[in-house]
Amino acid sequence: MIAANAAAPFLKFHRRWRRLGWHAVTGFLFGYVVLHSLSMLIFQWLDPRMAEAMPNHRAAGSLLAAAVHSFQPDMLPMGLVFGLVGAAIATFYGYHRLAVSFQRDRLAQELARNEKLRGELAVQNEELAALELANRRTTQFMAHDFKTALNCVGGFAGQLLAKPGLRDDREVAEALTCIRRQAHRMTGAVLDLLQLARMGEKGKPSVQRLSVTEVLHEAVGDFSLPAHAARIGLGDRHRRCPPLCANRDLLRRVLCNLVSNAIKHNGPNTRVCVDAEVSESGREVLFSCRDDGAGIPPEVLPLLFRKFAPAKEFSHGSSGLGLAFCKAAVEAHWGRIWCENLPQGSQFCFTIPLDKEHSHDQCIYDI
Amino acid sequence: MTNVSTTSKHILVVDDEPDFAALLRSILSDAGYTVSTAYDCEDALSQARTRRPDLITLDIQMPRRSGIHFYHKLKKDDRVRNVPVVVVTGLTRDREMENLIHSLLEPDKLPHPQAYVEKPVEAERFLQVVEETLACPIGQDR
Ligand SMILES: Nc1ncnc2c1ncn2[C@@H]1O[C@H](COP(=O)(O)OP(=O)(O)OP(=O)(O)O)[C@@H](O)[C@H]1O
Ligand SMILES: [Mg+2]
Repeated sequence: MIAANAAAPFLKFHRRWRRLGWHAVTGFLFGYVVLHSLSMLIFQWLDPRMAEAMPNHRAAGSLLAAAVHSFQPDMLPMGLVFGLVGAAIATFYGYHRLAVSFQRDRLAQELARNEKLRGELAVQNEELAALELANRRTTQFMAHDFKTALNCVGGFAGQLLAKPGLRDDREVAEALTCIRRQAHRMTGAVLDLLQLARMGEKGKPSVQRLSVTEVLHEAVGDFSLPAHAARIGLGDRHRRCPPLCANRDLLRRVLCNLVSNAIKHNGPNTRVCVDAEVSESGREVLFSCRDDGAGIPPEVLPLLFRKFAPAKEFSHGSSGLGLAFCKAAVEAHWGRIWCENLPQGSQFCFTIPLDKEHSHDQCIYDI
Repeated sequence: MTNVSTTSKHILVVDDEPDFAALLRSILSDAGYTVSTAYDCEDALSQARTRRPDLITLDIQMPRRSGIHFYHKLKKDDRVRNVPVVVVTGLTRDREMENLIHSLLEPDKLPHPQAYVEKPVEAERFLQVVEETLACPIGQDR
């Protein structure tokens, strides 16, 4: 059975070449018998004197005479020429068909392979989707656990810091502040990661109406900011900003990321200034975070805002996710984010549209 | 002002994670509330029935859906159905989560919780929500 199967293509191949042979023979016969006779007829018709030259006088002038004459031995070379021409044409035609049939076979094979591959791809896709779902569930589950655990750590540190007896002991207060800061920092990172994943997989964040000044104050006073964050200043243009429709947590995390970057990637004496103003067009609020540090290293510039950019370019101990999160969060609000190096230090800017209709649409989802 | 209005208020904290429950308890009792805690559905129900609290904070994501179970049983018990509930959740508060909760409550036409608080819980915001919820008795709200 298997042997028969294996021999099948060969047999098919063989049969095809044999058919080509038949084509040649038929072509030859057709040329010799039909075309040759026909040519005789045509010659006779063109030049009646030829009929006289034919030895078979009795049939002279009749159609048959020409046909019969074409089979005379002295006409053999002529017949051979016609036969060969016929054979050549037929062989050419046969060869063409053969090529087409080979191509058709190849195509069929290709199609079958495609079909098979498509099937495999579908299976793989399904597996991938299942894996991604499992992955997402695990991430969510872990993030939930982390959030709760870190919330306990940071929350209790905060509670203890509020107790006058403990707050007044400098050493204890410092330790508690440190615990609270690290817990808040980790919580921030977990939330950013979660949000980044969420924003990738589905639409827009829920938004609410917020005061720009309030958000800026919240961000600048965030417990997650590094210990030497004493030199963070707020500009004074933000007070003239109208309320904004945005997701409070996302906006605060974006600002926190920018401020903490400015401190983390520059010396402890860096001055940071955060502000917001209505842009020139009057259609968006322009947030800015400016520092007087060393500026962005040129080799890092093209990689900024890129998720999982090659980490070796970034400063030591960085995940390089901070700005990717910022970009995703700002773009989820239909805003833009960019950065520019100043003569001294750098400035990160982003916009959140004020567009009335736009924000009205979204604010329907206020919760 | 808090002293007068809140010392008499009793809050039941329901959360399967004792440490987290302890944190909420600490925040609430520092603000002058009387607090008791329960770590599972049964305990929470019996506590709610024996000593009707003024407010319940509930972790909706307790294992084996016991958070949802608790909410169902609470709302079907005439004695305690009017106790306002603040849901504390690790899910981000957005349409997805609200849809989830709606779908859980919808079949039985149960009323929705009075408020949601997301983890990480910040003392100030949490207390604000609790205060607002207490100030707005059931039946009068949205
Ligand atoms: N204000 C700044 N001054 C100088 N360099 C900066 C500044 N902000 C960002 N950078 C550079 O951009 C890189 C990317 O920043 P990003 O916030 O994405 O990651 P990260 O801060 O290194 O890590 P993390 O994920 O913990 O935030 C940093 O490693 C740093 O080199
Ligand atoms: Mg960063």
